[in-house]
Amino acid sequence: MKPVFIGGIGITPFGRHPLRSLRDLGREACLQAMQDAGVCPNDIDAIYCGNALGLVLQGDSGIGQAVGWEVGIAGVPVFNLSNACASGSTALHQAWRDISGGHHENVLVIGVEKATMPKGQVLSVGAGEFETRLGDIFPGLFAMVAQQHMARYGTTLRQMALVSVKNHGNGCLNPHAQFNRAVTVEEVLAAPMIADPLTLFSCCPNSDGAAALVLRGQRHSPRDIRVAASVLTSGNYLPQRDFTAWDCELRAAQAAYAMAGVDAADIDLAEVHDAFTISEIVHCESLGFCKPGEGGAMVEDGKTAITGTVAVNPSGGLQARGHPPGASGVAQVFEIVTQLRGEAGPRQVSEPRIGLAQIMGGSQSTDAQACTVHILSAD
Amino acid sequence: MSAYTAIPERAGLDGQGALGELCSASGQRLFDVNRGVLLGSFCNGCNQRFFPQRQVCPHCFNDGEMCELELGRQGVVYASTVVRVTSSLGHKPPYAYGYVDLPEDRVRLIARFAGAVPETFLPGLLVELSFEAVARDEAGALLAWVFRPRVAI
Repeated sequence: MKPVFIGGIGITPFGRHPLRSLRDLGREACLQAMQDAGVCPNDIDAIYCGNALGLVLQGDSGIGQAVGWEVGIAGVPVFNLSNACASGSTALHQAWRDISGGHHENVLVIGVEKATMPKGQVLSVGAGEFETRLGDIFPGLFAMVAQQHMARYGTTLRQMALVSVKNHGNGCLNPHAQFNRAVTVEEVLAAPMIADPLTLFSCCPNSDGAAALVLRGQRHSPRDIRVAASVLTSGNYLPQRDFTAWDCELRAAQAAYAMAGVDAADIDLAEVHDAFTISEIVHCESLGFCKPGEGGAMVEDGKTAITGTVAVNPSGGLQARGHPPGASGVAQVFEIVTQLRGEAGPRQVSEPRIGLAQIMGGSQSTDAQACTVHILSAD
Repeated sequence: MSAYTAIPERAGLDGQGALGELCSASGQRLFDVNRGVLLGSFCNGCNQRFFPQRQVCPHCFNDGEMCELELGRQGVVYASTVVRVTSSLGHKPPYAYGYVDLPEDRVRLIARFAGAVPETFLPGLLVELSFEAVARDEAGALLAWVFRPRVAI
């Protein structure tokens, strides 16, 4: 396999953008990434675009081509990829395969989404599935993950709330974040209940936004960051699976560490899929930052703070940066590259060398349909 | 979730002509209310049981044949939650749902809970199968399976 580097990054502010189109958001992120990498439209050999909801919500297909047209890229292969919340990271994985396989030299990765809904409408996902029609809601399964984790390991409501407190605190330091307001444990616990025991401030928002990366096969500058591992897995859908971990994540982490030749103790910072507070606790365990059952204590002891042993979601995560599903996986990598370059300003982690991004997408038989783990190295 | 649909609030329950009986995304029957049973399947190669029914055994593929099966009516709550917001399809809160293990079948399935206050259905509770409306709108009701406490609470 050939080495793969991230030479340029771009991102829009995340939040509500009712007056902006997918192509408009995508253009802003791509122009930043291309300028950052010092490449012209003619240099780009292929486009990989992650988007989860555009076909149904905006009636848009061919979003990768539309954004390419906006920034002056035509004639090259364009791949539109959809894997629910892992759409953007799946686009990155495919782009990594493209360059590491020696097919192309410069590739543009886009993650873009508009998931906020007009007033009076609610975002409905999986309306055709019998589970949804029975009354299943997204936070419900994660509420049950929390219930199982609390019963098995003694994880507390306060520990889960501290994930939201930490990530909202980090979001205050991130100019791209949707929320720039700190919350307290008391506010998280007293917020309206969504599904016991998860409150409103235990759940990420649905958001609009875009992020982009330029990948290339050679290091052009000391600011280029190497992709040391890229792994995509899917669920195994065991009929009576344990809710306190996802096997597809354990497999993805193991494969990624082996590919990068590092282990969990080498990771200086991580962006993980904190769609719900309990999720971050589970991911810290499954990625090996602590033992199973110790994820709650880890956040309580400050080990996942920006100043901790492994900074988890220094960007604010999905909780505070916001969650445009197709863009989040790319936004995570934007943050890690920024951190590894030492350009994260007030939220800068102290001299990081290796970062990890993890995100999952979709649901089948209570299991995740997709999970990606990426490991990036400054060396 | 494999399907994404944007719909106006409250419009979803009668989608796919399924006011009446809840069926799977592919239109397959999930239960027989007259017999009072859930319809699963089993593979005659490895004997593993499934709900909802599968057409192909993931273990045996061509070496096993799928046969219809009536699942057991007795279950144990594996996990549960109480929903406090109106769902995207208009289910009114509060309501309890979760996952029930059927020990005889070694099958776990999603279910709404009924017959006691929503906070009752904690893991380990013994429950049994029943059928009732799980959602209503102007046009009618959606019939599906529910699990009720086996011992009156």
